This record gives sequence, C-alpha cells and structure tokens, in this order.
Amino acid sequence: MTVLTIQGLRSGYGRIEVLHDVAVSIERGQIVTLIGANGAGKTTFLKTISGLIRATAGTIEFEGKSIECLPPHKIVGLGLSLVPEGRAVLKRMTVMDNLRMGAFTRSDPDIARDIDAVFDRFPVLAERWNQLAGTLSGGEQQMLAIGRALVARPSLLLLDEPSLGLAPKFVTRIFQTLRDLKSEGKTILLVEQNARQALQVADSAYVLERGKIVLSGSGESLLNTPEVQETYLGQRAARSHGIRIPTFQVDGIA
Amino acid sequence: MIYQQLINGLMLGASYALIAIGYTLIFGVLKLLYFAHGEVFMVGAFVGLYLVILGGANIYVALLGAMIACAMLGVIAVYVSVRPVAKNRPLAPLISTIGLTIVLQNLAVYIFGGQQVGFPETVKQELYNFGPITVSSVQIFILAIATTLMVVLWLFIEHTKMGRAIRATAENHETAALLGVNVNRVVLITFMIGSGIAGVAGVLDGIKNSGISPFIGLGAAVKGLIVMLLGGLGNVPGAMVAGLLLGMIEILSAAYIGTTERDFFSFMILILILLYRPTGLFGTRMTEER
Ligand SMILES: Nc1ncnc2c1ncn2[C@@H]1O[C@H](COP(=O)(O)OP(=O)(O)O)[C@@H](O)[C@H]1O
Ligand SMILES: [Mg+2]
Repeated sequence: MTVLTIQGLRSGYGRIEVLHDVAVSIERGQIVTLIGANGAGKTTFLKTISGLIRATAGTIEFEGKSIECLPPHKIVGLGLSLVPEGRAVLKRMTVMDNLRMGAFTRSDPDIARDIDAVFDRFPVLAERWNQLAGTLSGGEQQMLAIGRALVARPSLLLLDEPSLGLAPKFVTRIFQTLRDLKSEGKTILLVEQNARQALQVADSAYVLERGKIVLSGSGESLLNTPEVQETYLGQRAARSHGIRIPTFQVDGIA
Repeated sequence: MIYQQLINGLMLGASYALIAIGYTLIFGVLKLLYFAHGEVFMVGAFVGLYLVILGGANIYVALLGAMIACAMLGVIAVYVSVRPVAKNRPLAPLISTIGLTIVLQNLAVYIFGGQQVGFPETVKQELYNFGPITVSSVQIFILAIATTLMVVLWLFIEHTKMGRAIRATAENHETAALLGVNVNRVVLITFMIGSGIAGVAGVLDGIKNSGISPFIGLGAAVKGLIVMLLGGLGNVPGAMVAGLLLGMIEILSAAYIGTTERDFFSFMILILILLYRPTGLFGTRMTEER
C-alpha cells in the first residue's frame, strides 16, 4: 500500500524555484532514500512535504489525503513526522520535555509507555532525562530528535541527513536504528549525503540533482549504477576504464 | 527600618514583575518588543476601577474582570498590530505596537478624561505590627495576589502541555510547528496570558496608589522593560526575580539617598545592564542560532 505519493511537485523560496517537477512514492514498511549533493534541494523537499514551505505546483498525497495545502501542525497530526536537519532538539528544554513535546498531538494514556520505549531504545537518554537537551553531544541530540519523532507514533518518518556531522560510532548507531525501525514495520523517507550507507538500508532510492529526480530504483541497483558510484560513492575505478567522469556541480556553495 | 523598606520594595517590585512577565513572555515567543503593554496595564486599572465604582464589584471580581478584559485586548492587539504586519521586517511590528499605544492612550483620555481618578477603598485598610515592621492589609493583599499569580504561571509554564508548547515556540517556531504546535494559536495565548497579568497589575497599582490616570502606562512600560532586560530577555523566572530586585533597589535608594533619585537609579541600572550584561542577570532565553 502506498503511504505517500508525490507528483509534479514544484517548490522553492519566493521566486526561486528549487524543486522542478519531482515525483516520489513510498510504500508502507519501506525505507526510501533520497540522495543528492549539498544544495540539490533535499531539505527543501522535506520541508515542502511537512508544510513548512508551500508547494507552488503538484500534489502530495499522504494515506489518501491531499496535504499540500495543510499547515505543518496539521500534517504532524495526520501522522507524518520530520526529524529536521541539524538535530533540531529544543536545547533549552530537558530531554524529558523534548520527548513530551513529541507527543504533543496525542492525548491517549500510552504516552508514558512510548517515552519509556524511547529510553529503552536509547538508554543514554534515560540517564540524562532531566538534563537540558543543549548539553547533550551531537549524537545524543540526534537520538533525542529521532526518539521525539517516534513518540508522535508517525506512520511516516522523514529524516533529514541524520548522520551529518556525527562521529562514526554514532553514524553506525543511527543506521542500525533505521534498520530496527524498518523491522518494526515503520515507513521511512531518509535524505542523506552519506549515499553508500543510505543505499544499503534502502528498499528504493531516488537521486536528486539540482531539483530534479535524475535516477531511481532499488537501493541495491543504484549501488551498482556507475553514475551513482562515480558521483556519490567516490569510486574512481571508472577512470581507469577510460570512462569520462561527469564534473559534478555543487549548488549552493558560492 | 531596613526591613520595613525591604517590605515596601517587595511590594513595588511585585507589580514591576507582573508587568515584566508579559513583556518577556511576548518577547520570548515573537522576539518582539511589544510597546503597547504599558497601556494594557492602564486599561486593566480602569476596568477594575469601573467595575468597582459602577458595578459595585468586590475586589476579586474587579481583578478577574480586568484580567479577562485585558486578555481580550491582547487578542485584539495581535489582530490589529501584529498579524497584519510584515514578518520579515523586524521593526514593523514595533512601530505598529507604538501606534497601538497612542491609540489606546488617547481612547482612555477620551473615555475616562485626562485627570487622575481616585480608586475607592476596596481592601479594608488595617495595619499589622510585626515587631519593628508595620505592614498594611493592602500590602499583604497585593503581595499575596502577585505571588499567587507568579506561582500559578510558573507551574503552568513548567508543567502543562500548553506551557511546554509556549517554551518550544519561544525556542523555535519551525521546530514547534513540526511537533504539532499551532504556533499562531500559541502566540495568541501568550498575548492573552501576558496581557491578563498586566491587567491584574494595573488594578493592584490602582489599589496601592489609590488613584489612576490614562498616563500611568508609560511609566509602567519603562519599568517593565528595565525589569525584562535585568531578568534576561524571554526569561520568565528572571523577570519575577528582577522585578522584586528593582522594586527593592528603588525603595532603598529613595529611603537612603533621596526620593527624587528613584527613577534615576532605575535608568542607571538599565544603562549598566546594557553596557555590561546585555543578557541580563540570569541569562537570556533567546535562541543562539538563526
Ligand atoms: N531559505 C532559503 N531561501 C532561499 N534559497 C534557499 C533557502 N534555503 C535553501 N535555499 C536554496 O535552495 C537550494 C536547495 O537547498 P536545500 O534544499 O537546503 O539543499 P540540500 O538540503 O539538498 O542541501 C540551494 O540552492 C539553496 O541555496
Ligand atoms: Mg539539507
């Protein structure tokens, strides 16, 4: 069953269009990844889905409902949670309050149990439950951000570069968490620059270049696609075979 | 003598704190210096007065009425002077709330007249002696109301779902929205709470000074601003403590240095904070990034 269907999506900032006619669909229980270089429009894509940026054209259908005109707080309420880029934890609030905020859309009696489940998943958060989130390390903040999103019980979890800037042991930990979540039946849209690991966990994948989807397929098939290997996996083997390596344009860097 | 002055300072400081709480709450969620807040205080005083004079209300009803009226005024302020104004021009809402200040003050002069109006005795005046200290029933009443309000507000902000949403919104609108918070609604509620508390402060001020005029808003606004800066922008407990502190400093300086220098000391403190501790005594609650 399809959880999210996006068609003909255009979006951007003011008169600058960043996403040009993007189409993506996500099946229940899958990890779908969107890879792309810095400035390709990945964050813009996730912000448009979450309602922070209004799409200028196209449709976003989440579990059969059109959400492209809804404000962000309504979209969260429908069960679509975004873990934003750069670990947007509430730094001046405690770990516990961050998790409680995760349950803001809920009013059922099981919230405490779900918070305990986050503590089981990330025991380091349990140790620091009463600390301000700003005092946590980068990796711990990322765990908190993910845990907080899970407390909302989303039926689709969007993650914006969760491994960015983390120490290798935390990167491994985050990807392990994604595998765990998949085995628990969660549906995930993962945006990454860390293409290799993202493609390894993904059921299906899209490559975004300058606001356009240029490739898509199963995670494994993209891992074995020469263009992807050259541009995103840093494999220079192609050169010795005399294949021209396309120069890669990094947008957004002056 | 010194204890007597400290008690008096606490009294004065309690009303400063109540005004500053609104400033700092609103600054917290909107990063907006909400200029009309002093006038809301003034309107609160008049609503209380008229409920007592015309409605024959007792003081609790007057306080509650002023609180509700000012909370509604807060809603109106959002709709007329905050929402219609461009968000990407930080000075615009400041100017539009200055405009609201002028409108409210002139309206008050038009309706209530420009002169000082006496506030009838609503709390029975009695004096209690505790050793060398004399405390009046009015003082006890004001202190009790102010303290109760502050404790309730603190519990609300720290321990309720809406309180957490206000803190989250103050930290980052986008993050709060992504957690399901209707940010516009939280801003509205914050204005209602801050304005309601200012309304109560206005009535308490009327009781204390036994007279009010349409021009008491400016003085209240200035003191509230100083207290907000002293306590740290957006820092609610900071505003509470700083309010009491400023009240005591003023009373002590008036008692031991001279009454005419009272405001002089407040402004000196303002200048010193701005120069040496722009984050206030207790640190600001502003977001560092973005
Ligand atoms: N707030 C903004 N205003 C204008 N342009 C922006 C804004 N944020 C990002 N952009 C531009 O949009 C493009 C895509 O950015 P982004 O979606 O952040 O890319 P990615 O997440 O893939 O690195 C870039 O060219 C960037 O400069
Ligand atoms: Mg990005």
